[in-house]
Amino acid sequence: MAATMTAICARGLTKDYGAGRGLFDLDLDVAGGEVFGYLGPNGAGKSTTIRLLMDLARATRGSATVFGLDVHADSVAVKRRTGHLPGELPDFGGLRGSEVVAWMAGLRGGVEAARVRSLCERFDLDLGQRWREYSRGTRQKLAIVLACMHRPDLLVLDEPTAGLDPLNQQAFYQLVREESRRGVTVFLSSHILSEVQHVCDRVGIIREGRLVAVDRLDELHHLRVHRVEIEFAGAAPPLARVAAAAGVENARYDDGGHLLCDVHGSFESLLRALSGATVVNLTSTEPSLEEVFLTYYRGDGGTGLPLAAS
Amino acid sequence: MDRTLARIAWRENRRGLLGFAALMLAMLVAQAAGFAQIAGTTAAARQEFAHSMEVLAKQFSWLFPDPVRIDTVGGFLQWRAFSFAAAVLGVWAVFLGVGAVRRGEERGLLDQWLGAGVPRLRLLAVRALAGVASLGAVVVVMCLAAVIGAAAAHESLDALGLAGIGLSVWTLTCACFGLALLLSQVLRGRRAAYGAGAAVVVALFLLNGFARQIDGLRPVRVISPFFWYDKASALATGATYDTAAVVVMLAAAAVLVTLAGAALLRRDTGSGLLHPRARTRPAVVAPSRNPLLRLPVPATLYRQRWALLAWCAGMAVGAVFVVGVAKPAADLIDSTPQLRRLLPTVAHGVATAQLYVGWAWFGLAALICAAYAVTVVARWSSDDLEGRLAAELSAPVSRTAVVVERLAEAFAALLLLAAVCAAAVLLGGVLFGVSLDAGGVLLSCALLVPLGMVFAAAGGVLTALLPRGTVAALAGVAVASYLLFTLGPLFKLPNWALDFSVFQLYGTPLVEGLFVTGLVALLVAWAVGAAASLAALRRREVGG
Repeated sequence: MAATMTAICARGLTKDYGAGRGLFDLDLDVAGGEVFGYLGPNGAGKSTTIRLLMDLARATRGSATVFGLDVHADSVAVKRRTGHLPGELPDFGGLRGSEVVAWMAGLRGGVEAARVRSLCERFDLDLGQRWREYSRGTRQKLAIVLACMHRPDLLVLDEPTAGLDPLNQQAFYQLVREESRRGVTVFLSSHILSEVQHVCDRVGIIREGRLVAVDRLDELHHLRVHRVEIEFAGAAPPLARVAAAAGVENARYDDGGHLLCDVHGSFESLLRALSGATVVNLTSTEPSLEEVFLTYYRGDGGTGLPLAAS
Repeated sequence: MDRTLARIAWRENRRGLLGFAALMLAMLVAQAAGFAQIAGTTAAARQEFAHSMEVLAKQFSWLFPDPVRIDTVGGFLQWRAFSFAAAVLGVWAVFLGVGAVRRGEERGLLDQWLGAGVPRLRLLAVRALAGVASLGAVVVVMCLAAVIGAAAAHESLDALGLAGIGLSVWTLTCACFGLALLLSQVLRGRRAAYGAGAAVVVALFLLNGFARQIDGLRPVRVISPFFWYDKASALATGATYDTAAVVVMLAAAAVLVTLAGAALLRRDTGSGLLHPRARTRPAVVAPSRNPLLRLPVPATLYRQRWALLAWCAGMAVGAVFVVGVAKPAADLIDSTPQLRRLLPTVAHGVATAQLYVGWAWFGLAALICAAYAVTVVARWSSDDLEGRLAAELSAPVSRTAVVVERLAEAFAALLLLAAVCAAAVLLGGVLFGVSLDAGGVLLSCALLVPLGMVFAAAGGVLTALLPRGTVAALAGVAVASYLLFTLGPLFKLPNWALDFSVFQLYGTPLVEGLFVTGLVALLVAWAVGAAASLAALRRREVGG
């Protein structure tokens, strides 16, 4: 059932902390069974979104549902079907890992010991130690176990690989893929692009509390800006004409007379602006997702992408 | 660098400093200003008062030394205020000493400071100086409060004596601070150091007290800083001041801080000088099979089992001890004409031993239950601040369920404490041949539960509204309530004003029976507090 309906739906979801901080007018749909990456730098509003979905924070306005259930009014029912990994791990003090699992399993109900065992073995996690004796990475592994142990329909993961070593990161990606195949919806917030590239079907990019782009990972890649360098033989076209072309940004000539610019979308307008000039070399570089990501967060760019329909 | 470190340390201490300064200010001003109200204004009245108090004080000599010239404001303050304040500040010094290095260490700040190039010894020295300076500031406030209170009552205090007893309190707390600082470096965790530090200081306090009654303990009491404090407290006219005792306490503090420094040099950060070596064992990959952990209220009680056990043990030992001294105390009161004259107005027809247990023990038991409730609320607050509440609410648990479970947990623990209290009092009565009304004892113990629940429910509201300031605020309310109960009558406050004290609402059921209005007020306060806790938690945000 989880894979056939909208898992997460937010409409105008806003949490205004004042001074421009928070989350504003989030409209988002995440389909059941989808692995959705939620990208943004620290302070962009990723954790706020997750806290609103988990009913830990109260929305200023707007609404959100999980599997059709209101995250506030039906929060207990929502959390029954959800596994949550918080960005800030709780401090379980002197409790042993096995006691933490038993306690949280008692709160949840329906946790099979075999599932816990399987997860622990996958992450090479020893539950015999006390929480305060665990390293940062081991605590993260236990948090992953706590989020997944009851086989939820939705996993809400806030920067899940923080502190994990590469081997355990791979184990985590494998787990997400398996859960996805099982029909589990995964909402994964991260500021690590490679993490999103590893496992996500779609990506949403959040900037200063606003969702600025949502698309499939591959489509987002093509929609992105191209960095263009053009070498001319003879007279180069006037800079003003090039800069005025639709989709062209940051146009300038370097010391060698090469035209440098960023092109969003189609090249057609740029090519029209170049008419009459003799182009001897044109290099178009597709930036990495990392660079695209940075484009969104730089103050001087990143306004050109449309918010794709989800 | 040093100034920055000192500023950070001072900042960490400021809440405790303000709280204890306010407590000492209120207590000393009230005690000093109230002396004339209690002791009378004529020499004859004061002599009579002094005689009565000396008789009573003998029953508490396991706690505090015999009073000296209690017919003077100086003697009264030395016995009633400074002795108590020294014990209370000694416990605060333990918390300051343990937290001096460990608090920042558990937040990763110690590694940051050491990584920034701060030498370990300098770090420890700066934070130790900030700690003893905080203690000194509270002692100064205390002395000023005594002067203000005495002046308000047109009494005078010996300035030199006051400075001397202030110095004595400060050096005592420095010694306790040093002891705690050392323990915090030797033991692995902050909580272990808190527990060990508080236990050692209480043990040293009791050792000195019991040594006043048990000759065999006298040779070893020199290890107790409270013994040296007794030798150097001379606010009363004619009391002798032993300067060497102050030197001993200062030297002890210096040695303990030096040893703590040596331990800090040798130990790993994040660990203690003593730490068990890891043992090889098979990895555990299954949840604990402990059934208690799977049930909401028993799970919380299980997590605090050792603390709860310690509270129960303290309650039982205290109850048996007080009942044990009830008979000789009653004999003494009955044989003292000045006190015997008072009995008809306060005894309500009960035997003097029962009167003694009713006042001396159940007054203390009520305070113990209030203090326990404050610790329960402190844990709720830390559950919130340390992310455990958010983890709990990420499970399919409603906020209503969280509030209900918390109150149920407090109720269950208070019920256990009350049951232990009842068993210990009745057992003490049998053991020491003290005739006590069993029904009255059970009633007195049962009423401890609503008393504690009022503090727990109020704490639930405070935790939701003010998680970081909850403990200070609730402890302040508890102390103010207790001061109102104990000192209000001295200032002839009207009954309606005294009824603002939760302890007044509890009353003295073993002596006066059930105070129905008080019980109703306690139940209403409990219900209102619970409802407000629920409303506050439902509306607020968690974590983040």
